[in-house]
Amino acid sequence: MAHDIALTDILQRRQKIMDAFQFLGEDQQAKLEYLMDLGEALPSLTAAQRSEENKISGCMSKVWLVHREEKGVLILAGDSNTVITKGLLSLLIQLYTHQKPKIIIDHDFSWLQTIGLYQIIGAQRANGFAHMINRCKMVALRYYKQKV
Amino acid sequence: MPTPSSQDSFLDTNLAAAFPILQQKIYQKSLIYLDNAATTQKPIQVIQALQQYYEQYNANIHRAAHTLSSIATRNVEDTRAMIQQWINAATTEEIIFTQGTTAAINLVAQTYAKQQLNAGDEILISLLEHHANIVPWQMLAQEKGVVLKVIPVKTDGTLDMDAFDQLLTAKTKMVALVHISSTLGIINPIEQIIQKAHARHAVVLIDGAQSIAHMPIDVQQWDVDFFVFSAHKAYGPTGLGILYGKKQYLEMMPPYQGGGGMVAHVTTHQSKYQPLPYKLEAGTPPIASICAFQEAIRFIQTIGYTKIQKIEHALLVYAQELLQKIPAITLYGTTDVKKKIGIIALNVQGMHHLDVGLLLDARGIAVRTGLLCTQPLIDYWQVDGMVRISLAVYNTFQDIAITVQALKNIIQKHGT
Ligand SMILES: Cc1ncc(COP(=O)(O)O)c(C=O)c1O
Repeated sequence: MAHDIALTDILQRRQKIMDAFQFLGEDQQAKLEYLMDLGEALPSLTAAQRSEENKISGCMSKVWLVHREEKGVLILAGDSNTVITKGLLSLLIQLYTHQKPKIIIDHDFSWLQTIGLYQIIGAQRANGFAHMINRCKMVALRYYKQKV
Repeated sequence: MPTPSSQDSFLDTNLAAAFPILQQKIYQKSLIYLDNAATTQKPIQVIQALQQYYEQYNANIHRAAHTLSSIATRNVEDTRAMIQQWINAATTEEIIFTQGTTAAINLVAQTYAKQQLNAGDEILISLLEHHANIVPWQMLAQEKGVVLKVIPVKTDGTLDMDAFDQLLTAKTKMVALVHISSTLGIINPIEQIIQKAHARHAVVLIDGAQSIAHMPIDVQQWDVDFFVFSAHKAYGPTGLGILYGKKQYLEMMPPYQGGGGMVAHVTTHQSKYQPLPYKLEAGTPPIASICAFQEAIRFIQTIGYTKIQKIEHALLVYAQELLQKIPAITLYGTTDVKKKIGIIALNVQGMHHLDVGLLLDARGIAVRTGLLCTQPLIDYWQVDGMVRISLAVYNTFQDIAITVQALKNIIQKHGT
């Protein structure tokens, strides 16, 4: 039961993001500005949190992800030295924070293709974004394994 | 925004019209291409020449007895002769086709320098170099124990000539220097440098990747020993570079790559090499690019360097004036327009260069961001990248005005 509610929740969050991009339509500049607005709104991490350990490698920009578990859900926060990457992180966090690890592990990201995200960020950054998704999934997997 | 176009008649020419790629829209906005230092766009004549080659006379050169091969061969040799006259080389034997500037520098490093330099000999480069004129010498230094020395720059990005005078000693066997900085647009005083280097019996290689499209080249007047550039940065096709070398030095160079086209007589144990320039051109060259490059040279010569310099100078003056008025923008290197060409490196206060680049791209404006293949120079300013605007002759005052306005909007929305 609880699992179903969580699943509904992540699908709703996904829909919210899809709606936002759909609303912006073909306007590249508006989409990019939207992503950057998200990035600017995402709180920064402390200097201590921006550590080598929390850094995600393989991205063009510097990216950090911190995480903790609380009552069975994962709480995520992140930062980057570029606003665009913070925007991408913000999307990931919107989806994943306060979710159960299993939900994160199972979530299929192919829907991102449909919102034209990769056209906005370009192939190289799409690659970096894949690294961010991977890191989230790895983190979730670690918590999940500790549980079972 | 007022443009100074009214008083200048040379601005009437619509050069961009000859460039099909510039007519397109990027994200519903007219493309403004300001990444010309990376590669220039190609005029329709060049594109048609490429197509013509494949439609009418595609054949391998120097080999077959058939008609197509002799047309292709003649065309390739015509290009060589055109380049010889264009840069004022003494003979066509001094013009070697390579894959690009990078390949040409590596060729000199791995043949001439490798053979002529010994452990303890010194090579002088500068802090302004593109990675292509750093790494090949580092590789040679590791391999042969030659010592790499770097001419520093002054705070305005210009070469520190006093330091050069001190670094240039009897140990200096080679000076490998960029003609025009790809990051700052600064023109180095190469004639003076060549003279001083020659007085010390050092051989000079000049990286002309950024000068060939923007100012007249005269290798004999400058008495330069090696001069290298890429066709694709001068309105020509990709995959083609030119190594000019004085015949006496090219003669000394052992063949670099072995293969077809560079040998006169081959038994399974030994080969007799072709004379210059073929000795240094193993394998099938980029024939289509070589043939089509003629049209790029013709494009430049038809406008003429005088007019090219006038146009680009006026654009640079206009762009710098507007940018200097924006407090949030930092410009790097000297803004003295007598010392540079149309390349402007900048950062926006409180913004990452990548964000600025993407926001410009979303407005249809193409610039380069990041380390710009000149990391030592970027490190000198203690930043982790820059935004680079680089001009070509087809750019317009309107391109500049729109770009500056876009930067203003970006700063207003995202700057600190
Ligand atoms: C000054 C300079 N040298 C060398 C190069 C390398 O040219 P290519 O990539 O055509 O070999 C460039 C190109 O960016 C350049 O600007």
